Amino acid sequence: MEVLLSIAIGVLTACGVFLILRARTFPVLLGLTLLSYAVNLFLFASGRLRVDAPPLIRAGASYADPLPQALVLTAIVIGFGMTAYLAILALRGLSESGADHVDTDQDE
Amino acid sequence: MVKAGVFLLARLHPALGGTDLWFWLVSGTGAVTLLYSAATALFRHDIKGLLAYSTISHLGLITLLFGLDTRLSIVAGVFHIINHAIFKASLFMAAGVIDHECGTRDMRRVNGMFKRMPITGSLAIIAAASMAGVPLMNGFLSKEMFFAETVGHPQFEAISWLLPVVATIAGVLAVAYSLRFVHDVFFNGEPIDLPRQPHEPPRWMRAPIELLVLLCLLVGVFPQLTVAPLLKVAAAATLQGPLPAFELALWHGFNRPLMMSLLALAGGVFLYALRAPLFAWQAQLPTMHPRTAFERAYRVLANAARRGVALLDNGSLQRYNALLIGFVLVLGSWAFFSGEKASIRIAVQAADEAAYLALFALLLGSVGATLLYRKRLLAVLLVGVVGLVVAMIFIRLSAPDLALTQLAVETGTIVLMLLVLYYLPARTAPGSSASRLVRDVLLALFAGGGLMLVTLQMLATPFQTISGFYLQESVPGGGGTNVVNVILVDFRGFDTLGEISVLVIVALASHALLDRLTLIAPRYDSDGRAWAREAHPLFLSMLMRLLPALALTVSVYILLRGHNLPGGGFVAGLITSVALVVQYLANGNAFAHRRMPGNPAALLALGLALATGVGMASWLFDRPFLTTAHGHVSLPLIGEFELASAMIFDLGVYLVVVTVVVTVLSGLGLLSERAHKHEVAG
Repeated sequence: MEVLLSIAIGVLTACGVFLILRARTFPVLLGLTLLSYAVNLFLFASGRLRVDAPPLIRAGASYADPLPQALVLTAIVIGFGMTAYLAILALRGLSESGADHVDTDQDE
Repeated sequence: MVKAGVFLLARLHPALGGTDLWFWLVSGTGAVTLLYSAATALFRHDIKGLLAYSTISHLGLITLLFGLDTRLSIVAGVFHIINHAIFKASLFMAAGVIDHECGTRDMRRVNGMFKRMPITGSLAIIAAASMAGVPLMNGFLSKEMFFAETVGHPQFEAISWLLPVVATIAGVLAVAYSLRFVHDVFFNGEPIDLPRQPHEPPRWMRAPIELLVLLCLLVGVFPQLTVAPLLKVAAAATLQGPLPAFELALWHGFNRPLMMSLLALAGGVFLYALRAPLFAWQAQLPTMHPRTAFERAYRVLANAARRGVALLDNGSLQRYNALLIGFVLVLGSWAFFSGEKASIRIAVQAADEAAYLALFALLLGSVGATLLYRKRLLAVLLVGVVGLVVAMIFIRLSAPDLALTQLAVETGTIVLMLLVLYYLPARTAPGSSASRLVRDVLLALFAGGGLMLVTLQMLATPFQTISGFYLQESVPGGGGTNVVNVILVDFRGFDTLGEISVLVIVALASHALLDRLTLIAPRYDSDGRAWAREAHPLFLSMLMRLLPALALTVSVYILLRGHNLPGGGFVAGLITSVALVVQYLANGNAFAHRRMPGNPAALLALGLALATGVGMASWLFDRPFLTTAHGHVSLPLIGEFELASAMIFDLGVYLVVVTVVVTVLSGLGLLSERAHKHEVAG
């Protein structure tokens, strides 16, 4: 399980980094989304992986670490806020400059 | 003003003193100032110039004493502040008198004044003797203490001879410039070409000098009777502690400081005797104004900075991004490889087929989206797949709250991306150059591989969680069994308050960016086909009208149960907002916009006010900010249930989330309306 999750985080990061280095705004948006998945999973994994142990208090149960979960929950929502802001910034850029390039430098 | 700096140094000493940094910085600065200014003072021809440089030199001495940082050196520093104030004030007044009487302060012209103003001359000579550190004067006492402190200072081991040598050279210079002041002004032949005929000044012009010089002598001869009480108070205030034992006396026996004083006196006289060749040597030195030096150094630095900036900053965001990631990778590798060497242990929990399948779907989605990012719609769908897999990972790994949130956010993200796609130019961008592609692939692989290794290593490292407290206190302290939610709205409520504030800022910033934004919405898709004529299919439109009521019911349920079961303000808010945003898609902007709550800004404010207000309400009960209360309530029909004040906080979170998501997404949707109008008008 741990190996699989590590691979998942690694692949998401690699894809995210590659996409945010592209020259057009849309792939950057995609890359940011992928990168935030990777980061959220990484933070989540810092509480270690537990199966069938949700942090809901019941008699005689064991629990997964609730703290990283609480942190990641807000991170997901904030991540959405950031993606939305970036999207609107991209559109504003398109309207001001007439192009969806991230730079004035037009080298692809 | 300069003395204010020394005063500040004295006041800050208890807080900053006692460190190596303090010792080297402060005493180093003091020593350099002491020597340089004393040497400069000797070569000034203006009386006030000489005195001014001597003041700087004495302040350097005081700074050096504070820097030496033995308790006795602080006492000596404070003592010298007092003594220097007394003799230097009288000397400056004497200089003023001479200037007043002669009309000039140039020592090459003002000579032989002793015959013309013997009383002022005597006073100035006594004060100058104090400045030089001649016995019987107050300046001698503190200078002796200074010399005593420089001998055998603990910080210099191998070079313990250096400090006394510096002190003695400073003493030599002080004697030489004091001697110059006395000899050049009051003796040394006849005055040359003075604008006025000098004589003794009026009585009251001399009175303050007389008083101060009297003090010089009294302190110098009877230190215990005069200055000791004041010094004790001042030094105790500076040290903020018990005073070291010290004795203010004229005669301490024939010891090293006295020898240094005698050496300084003899050396000063000798140096002054050599003044003619010295002045000649100084006159032929190239004159370099400090300002020129400063400006030159400034220009060199500014040019270097400009070149450095130009190297990094060529205005390309892509390049900044690559540099940033590269730098992070360098730092990360440095930390990774410089740390403790440990072979990578792999923690293994058995993975089942579902896990392999999930990984496969995730790889397919992310790699697919990366390779096919030019086919935008497909890429959005593939990223959606990834988001769903992430939600499933959360379910599987015991995080139901995260899964719910992720699912709701995923829906919002897809709607957002589709809206953005609608406006972006349809044409496909040409590919990147090969070199850039190689660079980016390398960076990406390096980053991904690095994070993978770090995750593996982290998961294999045994750890002690700090969450025990939260698990224990969740029910008795927070009144909820869903620990994640209790952490969010109760234990770490302040964090959450900050986070919803960030969301509010996002909404406001988006609103500002969207204001008067006009984009030409395309009439046709990329293949030249017109959009479907029936923009709002009947089925979708009718079905979706039912959705908000349903979604609101679910949201209330999720919101209320959040304290005990998966759910809460964030999830409930996302569910409601998705239902509302869908209205724009299904029924058109006009229909949806009419039905939305009027003023989003007011709703945002209400949400923040609820969260903050319930936090502040705990002040009324003498509890810290955001303390929560909870108790059992029983209502007919519903039965007994638990209510916590944290639920009001969660309601605030809910309101903020709904308003932010709806504002951002509907704002984007409404652009098209405006764009079409624009087109028609244009």
